[in-house]
Amino acid sequence: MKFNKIHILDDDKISSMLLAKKIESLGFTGEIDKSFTAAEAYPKIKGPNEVLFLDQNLECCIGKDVIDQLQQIGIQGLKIILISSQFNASHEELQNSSNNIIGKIVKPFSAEEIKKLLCQ
Amino acid sequence: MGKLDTLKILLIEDGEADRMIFSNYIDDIDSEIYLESESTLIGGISFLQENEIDIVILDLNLPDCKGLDSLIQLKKQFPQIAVIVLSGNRDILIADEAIAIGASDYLLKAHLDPDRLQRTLLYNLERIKKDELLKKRYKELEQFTYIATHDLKSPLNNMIQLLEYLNGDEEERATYMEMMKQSMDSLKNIIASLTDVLELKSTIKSSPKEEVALEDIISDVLRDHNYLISEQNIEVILELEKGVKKRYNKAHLKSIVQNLVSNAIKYKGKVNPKIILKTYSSNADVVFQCEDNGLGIDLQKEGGNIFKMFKRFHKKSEIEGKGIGLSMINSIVEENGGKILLESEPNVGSNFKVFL
Repeated sequence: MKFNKIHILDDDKISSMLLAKKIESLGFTGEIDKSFTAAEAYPKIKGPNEVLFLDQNLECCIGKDVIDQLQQIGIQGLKIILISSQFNASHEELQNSSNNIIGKIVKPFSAEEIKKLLCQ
Repeated sequence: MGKLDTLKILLIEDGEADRMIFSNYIDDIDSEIYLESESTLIGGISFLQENEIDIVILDLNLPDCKGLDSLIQLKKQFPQIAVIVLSGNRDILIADEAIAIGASDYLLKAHLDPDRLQRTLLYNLERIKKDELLKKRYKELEQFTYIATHDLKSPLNNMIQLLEYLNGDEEERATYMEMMKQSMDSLKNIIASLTDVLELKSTIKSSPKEEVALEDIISDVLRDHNYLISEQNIEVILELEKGVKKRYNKAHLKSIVQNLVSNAIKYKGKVNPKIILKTYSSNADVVFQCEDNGLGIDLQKEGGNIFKMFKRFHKKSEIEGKGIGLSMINSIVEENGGKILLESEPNVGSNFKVFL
């Protein structure tokens, strides 16, 4: 896997823990950082060689808000994977709107799908 | 015959004589009707793009569009507007096709008189209202279904995944079992909230109503919250017009006041927190107002989400709550023919005006 650091932004602590475990089970040895709010995540994200697993329904905002904010902050090189229990057309649109969004995963997480996205 | 509410009609008719006859019939109807007219389809479409109209009366023989094409074009661009065809053509097949395309009615010019016109307008207005109600209910059902499936999936997905890790040692197993329990509790709470919402929606209209003095309700709610208000040094200012009453279900009215006061306390300002409660009559409306100088809401960002179910504007870790209170009281108010207006600014405060 080409990333040094994986960020998980999901207000569901259990879901976040489960995703981290799945990633570890794939042999990822880099740092996995979990944030439960966008405000908590922003200062920790640098960009290059990092990937963000971004939940689409955070407590106080949606995934698109976070992506817009990261752009405003000037984060470059960050790859993003959308995560959700349920995707709709607006998520499809969001995914197509940026080359930095490299895929999406539906919960419950599948190790194969995570591996496919992290190794592409 | 029933009286029409205020009605805005656009007549698209090129014949001057026909326009005058129609206008005279409208004048004979004992209702407040605003009649505008255009003599071409293009003129009619331009008008509709700039103005709100309740019903379009459409002649099928316009200089820039003949036959049912004009109806097709109108319905394509303005599917939500009721269009009544007014024609000299008695052909029943044309009439059937017009209705199939989406015309609300098909009137023959030769048979038109003020009584028939008024009946047609009345019936179509009723149908418009029912259609709008049906669309609203459908949208609510869509929203409810989305929330039910999405929010229920989250704890279920967690439970499915946690099952994979129950084969570990005892300590690990205990940790994961605790997480399973949390997920099940979460599931239970969501189902309970959804049930509350469904139950409320199904009983609002049929719930018994009585003359309720708003001052009494506010007094009850403040008494219920007295401990929190004094503990948190919140200044409560009352500007209550004497004798303001409203025919309402008492429990529902209390729920409205309770939710707003409770939110004002929850999201109170950090310095000198203040809540102002007002009641007054405004024209035919009775208004309850709840203003605070608290955390406020970013309406530019959240404007469309204010009354959505499970929508929260502040972190659960900071302030407890399920996010269904505003949704429920909005349902109550709307089902009773009222509305809620909100002004709010982050870190300045919120002002909820409930027109009961």
